[in-house]
This record gives sequence, C-alpha cells and structure tokens, in this order.
Amino acid sequence: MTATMTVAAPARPTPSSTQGRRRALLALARFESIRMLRHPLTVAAALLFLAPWLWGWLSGSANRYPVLPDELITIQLLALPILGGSALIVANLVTLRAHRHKVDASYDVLVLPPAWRVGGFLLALLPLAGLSLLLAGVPVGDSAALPGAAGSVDIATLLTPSALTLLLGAVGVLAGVLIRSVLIAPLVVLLVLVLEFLVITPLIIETGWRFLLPVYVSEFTVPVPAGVSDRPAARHLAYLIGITVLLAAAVLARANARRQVVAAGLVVGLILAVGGGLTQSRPDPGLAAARVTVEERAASIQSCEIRGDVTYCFFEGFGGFVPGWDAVVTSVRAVVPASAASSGPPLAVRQRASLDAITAAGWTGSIAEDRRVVAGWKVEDAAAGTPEAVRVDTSWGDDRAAAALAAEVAYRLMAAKAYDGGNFLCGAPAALLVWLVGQASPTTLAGMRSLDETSFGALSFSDISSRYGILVPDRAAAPALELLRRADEVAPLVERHWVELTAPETPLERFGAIFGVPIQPLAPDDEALPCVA
Amino acid sequence: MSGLPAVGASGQAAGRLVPGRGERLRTVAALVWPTLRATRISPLLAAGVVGAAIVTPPAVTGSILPPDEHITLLRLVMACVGLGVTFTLDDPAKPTAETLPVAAWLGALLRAVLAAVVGGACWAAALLVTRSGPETTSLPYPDLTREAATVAVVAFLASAVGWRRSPRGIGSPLAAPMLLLGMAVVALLPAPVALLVGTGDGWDAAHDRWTFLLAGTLLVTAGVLTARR
Amino acid sequence: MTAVQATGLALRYGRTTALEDVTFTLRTGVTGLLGPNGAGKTTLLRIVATALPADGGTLRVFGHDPSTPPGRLAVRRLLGYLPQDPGFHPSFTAFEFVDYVAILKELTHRATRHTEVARVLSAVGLDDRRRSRIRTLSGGMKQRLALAAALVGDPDLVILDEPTVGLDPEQRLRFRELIADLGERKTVLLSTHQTEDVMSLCQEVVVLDRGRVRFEGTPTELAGLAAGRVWTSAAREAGALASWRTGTGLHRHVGDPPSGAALVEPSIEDGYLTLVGAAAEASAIAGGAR
Repeated sequence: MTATMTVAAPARPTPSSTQGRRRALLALARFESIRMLRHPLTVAAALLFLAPWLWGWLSGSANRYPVLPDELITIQLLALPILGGSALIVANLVTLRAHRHKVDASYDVLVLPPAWRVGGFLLALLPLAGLSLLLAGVPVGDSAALPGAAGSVDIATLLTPSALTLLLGAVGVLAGVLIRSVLIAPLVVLLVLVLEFLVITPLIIETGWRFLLPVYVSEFTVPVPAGVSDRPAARHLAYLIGITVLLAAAVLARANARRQVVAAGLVVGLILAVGGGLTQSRPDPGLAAARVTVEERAASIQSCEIRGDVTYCFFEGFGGFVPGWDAVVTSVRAVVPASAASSGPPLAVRQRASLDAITAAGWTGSIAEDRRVVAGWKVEDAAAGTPEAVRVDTSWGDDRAAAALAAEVAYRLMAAKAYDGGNFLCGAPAALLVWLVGQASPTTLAGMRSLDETSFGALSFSDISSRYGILVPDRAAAPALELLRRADEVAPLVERHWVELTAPETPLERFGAIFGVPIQPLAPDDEALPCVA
Repeated sequence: MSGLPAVGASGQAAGRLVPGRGERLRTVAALVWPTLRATRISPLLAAGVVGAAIVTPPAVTGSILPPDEHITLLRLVMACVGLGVTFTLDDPAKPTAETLPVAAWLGALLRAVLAAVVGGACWAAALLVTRSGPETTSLPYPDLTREAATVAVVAFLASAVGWRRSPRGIGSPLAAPMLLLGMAVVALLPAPVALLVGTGDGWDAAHDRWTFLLAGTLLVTAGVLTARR
Repeated sequence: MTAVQATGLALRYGRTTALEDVTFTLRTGVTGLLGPNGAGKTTLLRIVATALPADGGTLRVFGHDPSTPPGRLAVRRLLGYLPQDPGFHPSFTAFEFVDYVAILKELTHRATRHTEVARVLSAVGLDDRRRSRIRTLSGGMKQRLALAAALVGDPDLVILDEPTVGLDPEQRLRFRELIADLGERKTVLLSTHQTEDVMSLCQEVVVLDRGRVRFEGTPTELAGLAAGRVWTSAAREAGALASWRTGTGLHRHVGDPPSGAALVEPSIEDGYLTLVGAAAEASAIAGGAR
C-alpha cells in the first residue's frame, strides 16, 4: 500500500441493452473458444487426428496415388470420433465448468442471463469447427498436391468434419445443460460410435436411411469414378447443420431463452434438417444410367494416354495413375522373352469399375455373372480399338494392386489375350505367371507375397476391390515361389521353354521337370478346380 | 464452542504410538465402510448399465453376428466400464485428508477393490448377456477379460493421475477424456503393435502385448499412488 | 520446546518464487502468520503440514524431517491441519466425517475414537448437528467441522489456515477461546488476516511478504515497529503510507509524521502496515529506478 498508488476510474457494465448483451455474448464466445482451442483434449485430438497422416509421411508408407473423394470419406470417419468426440467432451466440460467449480450460484446473478451464456458456449464452437476444417485440409491438401492423386475435392465433403464438430459440440452443450455430470459426455461419444458404426450402418447400409447418419458411409468399398456415387454431399451438410441448429434451439429452450429465438431456431433447423435429410435420399434418375455407362461402356467416357507402344485408358481424374501402371507393365515386359513382350494386338491397359457386385455389404455377384460382364468388356475393348486390353482397378498405390496388374499383364503376354475371369489358371502357365510376377519388381513380389498371406487354397491376384482377378491354385504357386530364389538360372530356361510353358495344356509336372522343382501330388480338391481353357 | 478438555482422556487419544501390524490391520478394517461410502460408485454403475445395454440388442434379437463384431461390442463395454472407473478416486475431501498419517494409497487400494468388484460384476453381466445370444460360446472370453482388466487398470491410473493433479481431488474431468483418448490412440496403432485386433493370426501376439500393458500399467499406477503427495 | 525449526526454506513454481530463505522457529503456544495476499502464507503452511515438499532449506518438526517418508509419517501423526479451503464428503454426516478423519489418523479403537469425535464436535459447537448431512450445513458450520477434523486426535502441532473465515462474531470469540486453551499445551500456527486475532491469541508473530520472512517476534514488538509513525489529524495526509478516517471523525495516518504531529499509540495493524507498506514502497522505488 503506497501513497503514490493511483486508482483508475471504476469500469461499470454497460446498461443492459440488446446491443450490449450481443457484445458481451461475442466476448464470452471469444473467451470460451480460446479456452476450447487450448484445451489439452483439443490439442491431443488434433495431434491424434493428424497421426495417421504424419505416420504415413514420416514412414514413407503414405499412398502416392490417393483417390481424393475416398480420402475425404476416411477423414470424416476419423473426424467423427476424434474431432467430434473431443468437441463434445470439451463443450460439455465448458458448460459444466461453473457447476464443477461451484460458482454457478454467483454466475446466476450476473448481468448476462443463462440463455445468453449458453449461447456463448454454442458460438464458441465455431472456431473449433474452423480448426476441424484446417485439420481436415492438411492431409487432403497434401494428397491433392501429389501428382498421382485421382478425383477432386468436394467442398461440401471437406466441410463435413467441421459440421460434425459443431453437431457433437452442440450435443455436449445440451448434455451439460440437461445432466450435470461429466460422465455423460464420454458415454455419449461411445454411444454415437456404437450407433454409427455397429447398429445403424449394418442395418441400413442398403437403404436410403443411411443418409441420416452423421457420417455417410459409401455403398462401395472401392473408389468409384465421378458421377457414380450417390453421395449428395451438399444436402447432407445442410442436414447436419440443420440438426445442429435444432440442438442449439433445444439448449436455448432449456436455458429459458426468448420464445422467438427458440422458435426461429426450430424453424430454421427443421427446414435444413428435414429438407436436407429428405432430399438427399431422393433417387437420382441419372445415376443408374451413369453407373451402366461406367461399368459397361467405360470407353465412351474415358481418356487414353499412349506411353511407348502401350495405350492406357482411364476414367476422368484418374490420369495420375498412368505412370504407376506404366512402371508395372514395363517391369513385366522386361522379364518375358522379347518376342512375347509384343505378342498379340498392341498392348492396352483399361481401367474398369465393377459397381454392382462390390458394395459395403460384400460380394454379391456370381462367377457366371462375372464372366458375362468380362465378356462384354472384351467386346467393348475391341470396338474401342484396344482389343484384349488388360484391366486395372480404380484403386492404386499399394503393392497388392501392383501385383494384381502385373499378373494381368503377364497373362496377356503369355496368352496374347486378356484374362477371361472366373476360372482358375492351371498347369505350367499358372506357375510361370507366378514366377513372372515375382520376378518383375520388388514391388510386385511384395504384393504377391501379401496376397498369398491372405489367400487360402489358391493365390488370388485380386484385391478385395476386384472380382475378376487371376486365381492360381497353391499347388501351382508353390514351385514358382520356390524358384524366385534362383533367378539367374531360371530366366534362361524360361526364355528357352517359353512356348511350352505358356501352352495351356502343359501340365505342372512339366514345369517341375524343366526347373527341377518338386511338384505336390494332385489332391482330390485340385482335380475339381475349373481351369481356364 | 467450548474449551477442550484435558489431554489424554483415553490412552489412545492422540494416536501417538507408532502402530504395529495389528493396529494397521484394524485401521484398514475401520476404513472399509467409510471408504465405500465415500467412493463415487454411481458413475461406474451407470456406465456398466450402458455397457450391458450395448451388448443386449444382438442377444435379445437373436442376431447372428461375426465373432469380431461381438468382440467390438465387448470392447465398447470395456470402454464404458473404464469410464466409470475413472471416477473411483474422486475425493472432495482431499484437501482435508491429504496430510493424515494413513497412506493415501491405502484408501486408493480400498477404492480399487470396490471398483474391481462393481466393474467386474458389470463385465460379467455383459459376458453373460453376450453368451446368451446365438453362436457366441466360442468367443475368446478369457483374452477379452484380460483386455477388460487392462482397460480398467488404465482407467484407474487415469483416475489416480487426475486425483493427484486436482487440488480439489476431483480427477474425473481429466481422467475420463484421457481414457477415451488413450483408447483412440490404441485403435489407431499400426499393425505390428496393434492391440485391438480381430480373431486371427495376430490375436495371441496382441494379447501378449495386452499382458505387458497390464503389468506395466499396474507398476505405473503403484508408482503414482505411492509417490510423494 | 522447539516444535518447528525451518531454515532457509525455498519453493519455486516455474519462474515464480513462492518462498525464499524462510527461517523461523515455532514453540509451544500460538504463533500468528501474517502477510498480504500472495505472500506465500498458504504455501508455507502446506510445507510445514507435509502437503508440499520444499525445493530447498531444512525443516524439522518435533525433530522429524518431513522430506523423508518415515519423518513425514511421524509428523503427520502429530499434526492437525485445517486447510484454507477444506473439502468434505457432502453425503456424510458431521460425525461420520470426523470419524472418517479420525480413522485416517489411526484412531482405530472404535469406542475411544467415537468419544474423541464427540469431544471435538462438542468443542467446536457442533454437538447438535452431529447427525446432519454435511450438505445441509452452513458455511460457518462447515468451517467448524473442518476445525474439528483438524483437532481430532489431540495433535501436538495444529496448523490453521484462515480458520475464522465464515465465522460470526460469537463463533470467532469461541474460536479464540478454543485456540487459546490449545496454545497452552500445544504448538499452533495460525495464518490469518485478522490482526485482532493475532493480538489476542498469539505469543509470537511471523510476517511473510513476497515469499520472505520480514518479521519474527511478539505482537507487541510488531506494533512497536510503528512507534512514532502513527498520528491523527483532522484531514487526510497525502504523503502517508496509509491514511483513513476513523469513527471519531479524525484521520489516522501511518508513515512519516510531519513535525508537531499528534502521535498516538501504534497497534499491531500499524506495525504490520509500516513493515509491509515500507517494503512495498521500497520495491516500487526499486522498480521505478530500473
């Protein structure tokens, strides 16, 4: 205490007016938003959200050929539990802070009434939503900048993590004004996950009701070309915002806000939620036609690029995959005799999407249906000037996809025609194909080994996304895998016996005799296998 | 208020003598009932009920789920029970009791026993409900119980950390989100060190990791509880 | 007998120095701890009460070293501590709560313990509320309940952090009576902002300011620091350390009196103001010079 101390004139609250309250509301929202952004859980959730991207970046395991729409779906699926969950808990803790610190009695007599205070909590969620947009934008931006990226970034989908943050944050505030326990928020997070992923999704994945979930789960397990997905991202976003506004209205109603404000919130929320919710499941008349085109008349909508003497055709936006495909094609051609490298019609690779059989519900087709579709593609390829085109999938970037393409290319070079699909490849050609794929490059070898680990009874050169992959019985794959260790002595024998080894009628035993590897006796099950003629 | 009477109304009035083993046992026995009463068990019960509710629909509807989906549901039950456990050490009397001679870990241990009994009952109920459904007898219940025990110990550790960090002794607002965050981290672990695996080749190796985690967490928890307060 | 001997105690919270080179001695009787807000009083009490370890210096409580586990345990067996902001289990009754604390003080013989709990509840005037749930008690009753919890077990060292907060005048007088009785046989360290409590209860007083001990002596010695520096006049004195209008209509001033000023007998409050105000002024001057 000193005599020189000067005391500033006391600051008095502005007399209560709507304008003054609005300013106070904004100041409160700013204060709370800073606390929410700095909350350890928010920081930890942000780091956790970026962890898979950071891990891929640091370890070099990131996919260099991302399909952007699928990346966005994955990001939403991460955003729901991590960003949404943390927003729910942090908003709940902020709402309950006065109660937890036992200062609610003193807050109750402050100038800013409870309804305005919870309004401040709700507004404080907006910067948190901004952070979600930023966090979602980092991996998406990184992927989009890659030369191998496919597809485009849909803004409405990119905004969905922010909408999820707002939605679950509002749930957190509502839980806080309804139940004064910090247990509720984490439990609600768990329940949201249960409902989203375990109860509702499996029950309604095949129905239009799936659009009412916070996170849209694609009906396809593979990337699909533009215009094929039925995801109405903008309307889904409106639906999410509508639900958020309804929750905010419930919060304000609980805090005894003015009826007009609550009613306005209810009306706006209902319009957005019902309008967005209903219209997003409205059937799109052009969708079925677009899907038929993609599946059966792909050539009519694809672009082609010629590299050397190979033509690569791809759906719009997938051109970034071509260098990767070309590397695999080149590597396979390098291990076959020079005469075989250009056998048959000029080599072409065409991207194919099989939409109706591969959905999130599993594989719903049949071998007969499979062969019918592939036969149709052959006709289309011939008409498009790329006869016997090798088929390649809509996903790319991992070793398994490279191995699957290598097998298709190897078959095309061995048989001078594209694989027909459906049946097993048997005899010496089957073993030779395995050897060629393993020999082509370390990537194809690694992919084949990975496929072998998840195949039973036969080596399936098919990722889950592809239904027409080549199948080689284990009995034929085993000796070829054995030979991969002896490349130097095997390669000249392959060149010398190429015609015999690629002939469909050459038995596996002959392969064993040529290379001096044991062949397992034929098991009763192997005899029943339907082999490619 | 009136003045205090003369000291030593009884031989033990001051609790002055260093207690022997028997005396300590009597202290523990005397602590059991008030500790039970002081422990916030209602969140654990509520979380246990929610957990049981998660596994009930498949059992009631007779839905045949793949084993991995049952396992996922049971892991959510673990998370629920774990959330309840994070409230175990909440102790609003901490400021009053923190300088008393009976070690804090003793009270914590009693609370842990109570949480183990109630949480174990919730878990057992969830397992019984799951087993009452079709095609669930072959699920790896012992391994899942090991996972559940680990989650519960991690939750108790989070509760201990929260309790230590909170001057008012209310650690759950820190501990519950910490547990969820930890589970999210576990869910994102890459394959070589994954813990939340499905039935298959990696199951046994993953459960060896669960065992290490359980042992490690127990040690860390003991350290946190017995560290200087 | 020396109950507490603190030498060079220090504690830092990050870059903030909470305590620095704190040295003092406590003996049987009541010692008051005075100091402005943020002076480090509660930190010091928590260190003596074994709730917080010091970063530096030595502390002996009845010869025990609280920095070692056995020493700490020994201290706790001799200690009663009323924290500034005590906590309770709201669902317990008053009796159950003190009984619980008594168990934690290793009073295990049920009948003896219950007698002791009844004794301290009676001592703090909560006899008639012993069966009441804590959530139904008033703020003053909770404060008395916390005091009972501190006193249960008849501790040799009683540390009280602002114990009269929330007590009405009658309760405060009864509290003084209680502490005065206790001080005849025990060592009591009392932190308070009530200088009249210090004057009426304490044989010794320690003044802490900005983490350092500024004074250690008797209350009379503390008041004596303002001898010749307290005067009254009809008008406010701008140059005084403190100046206020009293109930008589005269202004009372503490500071450097003008010549011919009407000096009056200083109180402990004047001494405290002289000590702390001079330190603050010196600090302000030093800060301005920098």
